[in-house]
Amino acid sequence: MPGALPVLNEAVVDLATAVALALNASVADKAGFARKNYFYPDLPKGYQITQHAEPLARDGHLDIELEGRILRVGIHQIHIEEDAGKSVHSGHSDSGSSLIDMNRCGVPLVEIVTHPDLRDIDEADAFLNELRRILVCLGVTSGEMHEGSLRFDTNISVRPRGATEMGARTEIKNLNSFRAVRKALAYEADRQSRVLRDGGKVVHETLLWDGSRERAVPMRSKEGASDYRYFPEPDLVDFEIDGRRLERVRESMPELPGAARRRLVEVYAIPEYDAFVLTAEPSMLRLYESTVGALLRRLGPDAPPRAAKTVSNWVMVVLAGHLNERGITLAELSARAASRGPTDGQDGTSALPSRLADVIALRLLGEVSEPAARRLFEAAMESTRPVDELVETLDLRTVSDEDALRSLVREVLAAHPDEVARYHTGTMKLMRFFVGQVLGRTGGKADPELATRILLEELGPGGTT
Amino acid sequence: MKLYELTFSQIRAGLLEGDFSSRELTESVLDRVERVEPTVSAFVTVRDRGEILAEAAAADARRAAGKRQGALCGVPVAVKDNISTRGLATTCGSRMLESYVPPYDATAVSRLRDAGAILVGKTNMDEFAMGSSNENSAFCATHNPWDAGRVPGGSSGGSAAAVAAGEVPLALGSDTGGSVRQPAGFCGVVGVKPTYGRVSRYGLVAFASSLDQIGTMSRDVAGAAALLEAIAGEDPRDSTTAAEPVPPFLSDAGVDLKGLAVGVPDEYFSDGLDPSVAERVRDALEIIRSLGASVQTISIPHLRFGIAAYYLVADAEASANLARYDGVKYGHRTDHAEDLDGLYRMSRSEGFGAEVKRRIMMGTYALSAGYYDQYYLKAQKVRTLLARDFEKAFESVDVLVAPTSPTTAFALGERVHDPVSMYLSDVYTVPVNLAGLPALSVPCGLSTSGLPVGLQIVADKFREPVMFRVARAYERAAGVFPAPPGL
Amino acid sequence: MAVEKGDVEHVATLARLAFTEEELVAFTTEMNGILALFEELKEVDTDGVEPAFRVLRRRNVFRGDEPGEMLPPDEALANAPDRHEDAFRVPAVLPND
Repeated sequence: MPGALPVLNEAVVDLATAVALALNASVADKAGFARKNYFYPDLPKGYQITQHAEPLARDGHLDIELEGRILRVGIHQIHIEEDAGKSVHSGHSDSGSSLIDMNRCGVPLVEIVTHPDLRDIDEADAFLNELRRILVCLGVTSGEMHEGSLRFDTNISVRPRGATEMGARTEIKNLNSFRAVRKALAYEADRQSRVLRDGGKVVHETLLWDGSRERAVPMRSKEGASDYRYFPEPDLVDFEIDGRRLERVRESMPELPGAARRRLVEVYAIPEYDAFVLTAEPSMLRLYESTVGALLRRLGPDAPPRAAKTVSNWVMVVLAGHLNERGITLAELSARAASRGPTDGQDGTSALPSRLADVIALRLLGEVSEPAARRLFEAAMESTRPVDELVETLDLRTVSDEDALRSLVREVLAAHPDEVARYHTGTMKLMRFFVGQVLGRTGGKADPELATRILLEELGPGGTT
Repeated sequence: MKLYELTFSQIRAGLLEGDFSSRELTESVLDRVERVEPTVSAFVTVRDRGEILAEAAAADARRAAGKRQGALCGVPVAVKDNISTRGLATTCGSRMLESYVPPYDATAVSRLRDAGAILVGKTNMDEFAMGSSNENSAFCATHNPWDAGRVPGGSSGGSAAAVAAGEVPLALGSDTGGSVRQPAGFCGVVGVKPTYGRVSRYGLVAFASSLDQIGTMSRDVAGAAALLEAIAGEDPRDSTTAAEPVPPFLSDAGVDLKGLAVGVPDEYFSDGLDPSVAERVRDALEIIRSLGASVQTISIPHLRFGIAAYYLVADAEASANLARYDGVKYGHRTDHAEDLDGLYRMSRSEGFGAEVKRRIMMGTYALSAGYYDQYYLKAQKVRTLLARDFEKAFESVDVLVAPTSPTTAFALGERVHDPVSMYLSDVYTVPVNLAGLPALSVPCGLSTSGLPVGLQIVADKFREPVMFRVARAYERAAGVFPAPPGL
Repeated sequence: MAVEKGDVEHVATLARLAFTEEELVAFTTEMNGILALFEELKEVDTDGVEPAFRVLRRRNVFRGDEPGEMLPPDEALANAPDRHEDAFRVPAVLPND
């Protein structure tokens, strides 16, 4: 509205500073805003408040691992600016017009500009994934690209083999998924290559990605001849990022994904891949470490060396599957668990990790079989009762009574004379069938090792007679 | 004496003593509006009479009930039409915003309401505050109450004429390069431009953001000071407001000016100054001297570069501030566009008048690639030098006293086709805006042709009290300036 | 330094203003008159002088991270020349294909 004025939200200064520190950039002592002048319907003031001559931070880098090598991507600048509105270009009845939703206007955002250091789509993809993990970890964004809380603009230029100069670049906007980035880069690299092969020239322009048709369409030129006429924003005053603010931001920063990965591999001796998956979300990492902690406390000195890896498997496979099936997030599950069960009084661990650790402990101690442990986990997620009680109520404890098992084994062998005969004539793999039968008769509770030993004893040597 | 003829001091005393009610005062004022508007054309919008009188009656009831009342309780006030008023059209004197109704109040307006003032209407102005004569209004020219063939000055010409003509005792204007002081001088009223940052710009439709300030107008110094007190102070919605506390601008201490050092900048008495204006200003300086102040000549060496620096900075900022008028969200939208670009260009070209387009063009040019350093940046550096000139002056004097304008009110149509000569009429006022200083214009007599002359008093940043002290001491010695005769 | 008609046309494009041929010619003359006034600044030695973009020497003015008062959509859109539900309508932004 005419007469309205901007005021800088302090939270964005802290968040942008955290991004700058995470990306190893040098933060300016003093920063200020400028007006970037151009006409576009989603820009209600006819200029965007951004940072131009005095950005918050410059000259950073991010190292990413890609196929066993380290790629350093230079960060040109990190700055704060205001968001524009949303143009709806299609999808409404009247095709001769566009609709502009101004609700997002003026919301602060942090823009990160890289150097042209990415050479192909995989590099770009790896970089953006790592960047997203860092930003989510810092709490700067939810990372939900479909909501627009994380957006990419890519610049791409192709260089004929042997050429040393970079070609003219085009910018593609409106990329709202990693898939769109890959598709758009491939599309545009291909288009530019074809233009060059046909003896044409690539024109520096801005394109808009049309996801439904998987192609980039030129935006109408923003300004006859692009001339943004930057000048210092008179409605805002400069701001300082002094030592105190830097210190405060630094102290409040969580461990970044890269450091967390290295630490997980070192401390818990889990594979790189596991560490990568577990550090995707800060909440996932917290859950993993709390669960390992709770498990080790429970098992004490008897904890097997593979305990940490077992927890990793459980988190990545069983828990992830549970979330997936129910279409809920980890946060939702944690909240549910917390609301159901009291937090563990002794160590303050929230309900979810301690219950998960209880299940895994029973499994590691051989008290329950693998299938029984999974059932126990599902039950533990739906109930408030202690896991140790559940295992009894549901009668999931492993059957390790040798006499009982032996009689079961005899029943199985008696019921399958053909298979017993085939076993003895050399079809050794039938052992798995017998074990399965025994387990089946115990509802998955039999100790498979014990069952195998008894089966071997009862069958006598196989394959020789 | 009719109630509409009273000064603010008399009104305040009269309401307090119960000599008359706010309703009686307001009725007198509204009758006056009806009678003189055909001649003066100070208003763009006058609110519904019934609503205004109901508010006045409510103010009387408050007073009668002994309830706490604001400093301006029951006092009619006019507001320049570039200051947003919720639910009341705010046109900026432009066809562009002819039908624009703000959904919110400017901070200055909400503070006026809190102080109990009664909003009478919105006053005419040069389009988007660009002009020095009110002839750039898209709706009508306002006439000077002292001589209907002359301009009231601008851009707050409507507010100045309304106060001079007795249509309201108090009015708000805005001053980007002299737009309160120059029309105040031309119309024979007091006009104040406070320190940059003293009054919130939230809701003031932006012209040049680093120069704009809302200012006050009144027949007497006390009114201008009281109105300013009501609207001044930090506003969380305007990052450029100052955190400085707002002192009482007018204290009763010091009816004389003993111990005060007054500087007279030599450069203000140069070739372009009308001799009869110079004469009245020198007379006023004699009175100030006789009140005990020491008067000395000082120098503002960069004064003559003020106009060029001012127009570059103001036009550059304006070119961005006026980009929002594109026919999409509010304001005029063309019927003759085939595409988006045409919508922009035609809506803007139809909605803006000649002077506004001129300023947008100059400002766009000054910021464009290849010219930024030469024009815009250079102007901002000259601005620094000019500000330093004033800083240096204030090391040795408390206030500067000078003419407000080089001439008295000029004839309608006289300069309208010569932008440069129009710009030069701001030569004495723009340096104050560039330096962010407070200044006021107080009437100091009539020229030989019978037109009011304005005396400008400039103080250092946030030293409004000393500026008001000099103005009121002078006003007491010379007498409150009379209303125009025969209207 | 004089501007020519072509310069004026370019600036008009940047500023999204439309002028008739006649207006362009007249404006070129006018603009040169005003530029002559601006040229006076060349006389001033500004070597080593910092520009005074803002007169207020205030820094670090922030707001908290809470939502403020908001206009209901109908009020925000009340002045719109053309709206569709809660959006502003404009001629197509992208060229039709």
